[in-house]
Amino acid sequence: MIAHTSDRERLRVLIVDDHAVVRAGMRLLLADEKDLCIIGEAGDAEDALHLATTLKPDVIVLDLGLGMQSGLDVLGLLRAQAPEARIVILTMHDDRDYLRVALKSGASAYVLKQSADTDLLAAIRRAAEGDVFVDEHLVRHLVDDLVRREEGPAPTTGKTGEPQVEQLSERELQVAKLIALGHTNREVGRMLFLSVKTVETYRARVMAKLGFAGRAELVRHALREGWLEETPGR
Amino acid sequence: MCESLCPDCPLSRGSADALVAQEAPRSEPQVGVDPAGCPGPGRERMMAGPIPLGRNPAGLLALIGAPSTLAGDDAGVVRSAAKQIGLVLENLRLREERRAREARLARLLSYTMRAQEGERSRIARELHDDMGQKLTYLKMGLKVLRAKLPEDQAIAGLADNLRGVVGDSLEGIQRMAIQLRPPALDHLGLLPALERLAHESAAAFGHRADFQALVADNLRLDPDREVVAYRVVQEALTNVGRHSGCRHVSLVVEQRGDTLLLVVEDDGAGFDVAAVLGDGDPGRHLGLDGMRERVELAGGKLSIESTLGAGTALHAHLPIDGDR
Repeated sequence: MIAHTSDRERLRVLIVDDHAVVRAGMRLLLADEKDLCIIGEAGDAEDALHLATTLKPDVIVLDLGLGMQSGLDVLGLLRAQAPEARIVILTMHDDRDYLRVALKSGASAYVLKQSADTDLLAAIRRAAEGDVFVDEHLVRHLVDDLVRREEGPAPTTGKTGEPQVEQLSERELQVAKLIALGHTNREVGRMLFLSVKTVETYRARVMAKLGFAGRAELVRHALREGWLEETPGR
Repeated sequence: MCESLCPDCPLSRGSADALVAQEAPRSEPQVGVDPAGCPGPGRERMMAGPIPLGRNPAGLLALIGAPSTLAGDDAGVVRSAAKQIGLVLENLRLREERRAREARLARLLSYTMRAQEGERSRIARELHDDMGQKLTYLKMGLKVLRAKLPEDQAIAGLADNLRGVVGDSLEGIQRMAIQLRPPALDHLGLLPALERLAHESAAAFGHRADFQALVADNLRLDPDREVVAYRVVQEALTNVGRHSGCRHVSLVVEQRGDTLLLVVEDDGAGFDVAAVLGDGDPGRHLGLDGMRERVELAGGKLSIESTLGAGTALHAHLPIDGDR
């Protein structure tokens, strides 16, 4: 734990990373920036929380790895105990779920370590202004997620309106339910005294009638229709 | 039988062993002693022969009866009966041996798989925590250095070049670390890790993926089984991507009581399961064998259904808790 002298005119930055070598890199990177100064360094969660509450930094640069303790937990604690500080995540995790959880947990910026040289300074400044910064490697994921959400869950093909279960014959419905329950064609055949070939035929008809591309859609449909309710384990 | 005879009878335990030892080399049924003074139902005779088991006799087969009931050619009966008993015993022994060997192999395989996962984890961590951090430092340092360099096109160009190479190495390390040990599995849980696997694999191979889970939100398996679930789905999706030429793959995860069911299903070319599994060239089905081994060692079962032209479905059942 290192507490540096502070300078009121500059953005006061606390750096938290359990890798001394990365902290050294950040010192190098921030050294010549007139508007930024590092007021403290922490290599573990405990020091980070202590310095965050005592030094009241404007921005905390936080590594999500952070040894054994999950960096995401530390993020939550920092947000709770030093709510004024903006948090910039600096991480090896090129991962959209990490990004999502980090932003949800109150991080202002998410920078990959591979982009630290080009993006970290901008991220710190943007975060300090109350803005958001996401590494360009990950923006792609955000866009994908956005598009997927707008399209709705897994658009189905060749289907008009709500699927009509009435369209299915009794046999087809039986087969569809058992498949949605996770049975193999062979198992369905055994249960209904049908050959595997026949089950395959019924099944193909079910999928065609409902306009489903795969089993996952059938399972979702089964869930909506309440086919699975009488079964244990849910 | 022995108890009904007097202590010095050859069939009392010690003397029977002695007889076995004595008879062993010849392995010819012998007409035994006439146990004089036997309190049994009259003077009896015994015909005994060793039960062969490998090189050593397993015991003694003895016929006991009144002298009139035991004829000389009964020796053949004793001999062949003893041989049959020996064969049965030998089979039992072999079966027991095989069971023990299989159990040993399974333990070894299970240990090897765990060791492999541990090693992968360790290497991934090393890549992340050591090389990754050092390269990060290098990249930041080169950036600073570049800014401080005198105005010289060539030197500045070199510095940028170096930084580019370091950046590529960092990305490579990141990719490798994720393949070795997906951080999502450790930090986000099995389901998000599986969902991501489906989408990433689909993106890599250029088909569509659909994921649906029907399980309790907080479902966690023991870590070894989570790795099994992950690796099996990973292998299955890789097979689908490489061989099926499908347009669509479904990954369904369902909880059925104390069983977790994983289904990977595609609408691709399909294959003749029996032919591939029965192929003498193990290269063709090593992946399938590996998946099956993993699942069975975890106490589960795996089945594959495929129809030429109509796709393939892999079902893996894994116990959610309890021992295997």
